[in-house]
Parts: sequence; C-alpha cells; structure tokens
Amino acid sequence: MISIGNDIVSLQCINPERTRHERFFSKILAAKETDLYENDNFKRISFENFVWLAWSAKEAIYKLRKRYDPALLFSPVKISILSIEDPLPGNTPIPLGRHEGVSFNKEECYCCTADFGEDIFYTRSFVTDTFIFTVAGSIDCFDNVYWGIKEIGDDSYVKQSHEVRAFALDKLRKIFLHDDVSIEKTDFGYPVISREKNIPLSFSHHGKFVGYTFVKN
Amino acid sequence: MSRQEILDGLKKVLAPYTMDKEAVNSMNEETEFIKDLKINSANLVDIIIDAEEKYDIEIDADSAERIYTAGNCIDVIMEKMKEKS
Repeated sequence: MISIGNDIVSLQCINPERTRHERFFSKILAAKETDLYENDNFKRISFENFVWLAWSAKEAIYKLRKRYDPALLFSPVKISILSIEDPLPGNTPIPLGRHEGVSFNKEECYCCTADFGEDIFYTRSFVTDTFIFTVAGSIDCFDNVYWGIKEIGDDSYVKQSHEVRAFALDKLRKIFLHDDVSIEKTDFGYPVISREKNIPLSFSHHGKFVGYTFVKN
Repeated sequence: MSRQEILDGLKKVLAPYTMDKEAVNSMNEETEFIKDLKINSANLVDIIIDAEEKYDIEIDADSAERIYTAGNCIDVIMEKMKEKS
C-alpha cells in the first residue's frame, strides 16, 4: 500500500527550556539517539531543535504507518532513528510565508533512516528558524513527493484545518488539470485525493504553520 | 482518589493545551485528547509530564502510548499511584 506521512512543528510553540530537560527529551529520544547529536555534526542546530527534528520524523513515520494499521498507538521511543544525514551548511531553502515543491534535494534537508517494528522508514526534513517540516515515505518515493508549507494568520484548529485543505486543493487543481479533484476520507478517516484515485494525502498543522504532502507518479 | 477527582484534575492539566475550553469543561472518560479537544500531538509529552508532576508518578513509554482518552489516562494514573503506594 502506498502511504505517506508528514509533520510540522512551529518552533514558536515549543518550550526550549523544557525540551532540554532529560525528563522531557527522554520521552522522545532513546539514549542512542541522543548520542547521534553528541557524536555527529549536528551542532549547527540547537539540541532542542534536534529533539523536535526527531519528534517530527517519528510523528511523520507514525502517520504513514497508521494509515495501514489504524489501531497503531504512538510511542516516540519505539521508533528508532538509526542515522541522520545533515544538509550542506547554509542550505536552508525555505523562505517565510508560503513554499511548495516537488521532491527533495538531499543537500538541503535532514535525511533520517529509522526502524519501527520490523520495517525501515525514511524521512526528509527542513529545519528553519521558525518551523521543522518532515515527510516520511519509502526510500524510492521522494522524487515524486509534492509538499507545501504555509504560514497562516490564525492558529485556531478550525482555521488550521480549513487553510491546509484549501492550500492542498489549490495545488491539486493545478496538477489534475481536467479532473474534478476533491479531498475525501477513507473509512478510517484518513485523507485521500478522490477515492477512485486512492492517492494518500497527509496534512499537518502546528501554531501558525500548516503543511501538506502527497505522492504522484 | 476517585476517578471523578482525577478527571477534574485532568481538566486543569489539559486546559493550557487547547483553545476549546468548553470541550475541556464538559469532557468525560470517552473524550479523546486529539480528536475531541483538538490538542496538538506536539503537546502530548507536556501533558504526560504535567500529569507526572501533579500526581507524583512516573509514566513509562508503554503506559504513555495508551493515553489518548481521558479514561485511559485515568487508568494509567491510578495504576501508577497504586504501584507507588
């Protein structure tokens, strides 16, 4: 089954001081994942952003897998990040406001490999000063991933939900030029692009940021 | 401590993490934190830690993953308080 997951973390909404407490980050990171930050070249981002990068990767993987295992529960420490590749210095491509793209340039994003149960998952993340955005998928899907990130003016749930759907629909109408494209839900409540096409779509929102992701071959 | 007392205490724990104060005030054991209270998943760790501090307990990963409704949160809190006593 094709699946996709994404997550966005608004860095204005997290508590950096609390994140640095072991009591907090140990509920997200296993000890060997903390070592990734100590041993590798991640000091260009703060430890708290590293914790939320890991959270974002794990949440995106969970959302991907839950689509075909609806009873799945989320336990961040049970998703184990095995490796992280960092982008080239200075390669943060995301301007403020609104940004959309297709595929990921590995030199511009953090690339994680993680295991969850008996499966291996892959993620691509942008880490900026204001948000962390992650897409999780199979290793061969990323060239065909469409993604969008938008800053909105209102962080209420209703507004987030409305804005992210309108944002994705705007993109979908440009791609499926002559199709009557719509966003629907599976029986388990997961968004898809018109049932007959059965293309999974993933939404995320946090604070004043919303994001969408889908795969189109 | 009764389930109702813990439920009332949980309302205070959850209130800072949702804009829907009415949903928090009227919540019952079936209420789901994310679906019904519109709490962002990024606040789940905050809620676990706030509950740990409020009830002086430690919630392990296996227990934390079971917490998605008020009812199973109360179950976990009562289990951990019993283990401690």
